[in-house]
Amino acid sequence: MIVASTTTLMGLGIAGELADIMGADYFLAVGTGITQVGAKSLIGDNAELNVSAGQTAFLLPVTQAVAEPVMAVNTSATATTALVFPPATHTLNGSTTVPLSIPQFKSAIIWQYKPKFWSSILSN
Amino acid sequence: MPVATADALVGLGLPAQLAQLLGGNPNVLTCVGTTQATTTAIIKSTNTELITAGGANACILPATPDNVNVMVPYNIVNPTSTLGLIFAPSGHTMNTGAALVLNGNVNAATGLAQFKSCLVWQYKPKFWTFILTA
Repeated sequence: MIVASTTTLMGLGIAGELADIMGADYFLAVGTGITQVGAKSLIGDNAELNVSAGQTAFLLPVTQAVAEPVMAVNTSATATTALVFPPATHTLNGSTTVPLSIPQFKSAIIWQYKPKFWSSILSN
Repeated sequence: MPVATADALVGLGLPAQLAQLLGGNPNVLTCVGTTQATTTAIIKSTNTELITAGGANACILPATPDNVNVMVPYNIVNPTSTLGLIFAPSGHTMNTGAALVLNGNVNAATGLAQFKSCLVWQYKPKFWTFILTA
């Protein structure tokens, strides 16, 4: 579970690589397309999702470590749902192709509980 | 989200400042007032239990230090039956545009239920979001 920003942790003396695991740095991601193929790849653990009609798709980072969650929030100006897909050949909530839908103003925590298998918690 | 209590982390040798960041000692917070402007109940622990009552159900997230607080998730639970209103600090934005309401979702009006909890965090300076239990 993320406990702080990476930079704050490093400021308190945590080594960079460890701070990167424990912390997160902000990343603004703009959706690309509506499908898994060609979706915008997420980088980092703290993603603000910006979507618009026809540009709603994101891809979880294939390089993300197991048990290192991605925290994502959809702050789009319009009531458009963000679609977060698993990487190719990975499984998210039981499917290799069905995305997690994050409505406007909702947040989610998504993590890989074992290699190539992801789960999520979506805010009520 | 705290990984342990701050006290336990200090006991295991972590410096106090780091332990405060990583850990969350239990804190019972009695809410005050009903609005952002009138509440004086400031959430100080990442492991907070709210005590609410009619006319006294508001609390507010800590405003400073802004940058240090980014990506520090606050684990908040409301075991009392009155709605808990969690406000962003003045000048900050809660993702819904209003207060986060525990025990009654501000978005879906799910009704009154005890023992709801949430994780609230600042995803970038002055902008907060949350995960609320169903």
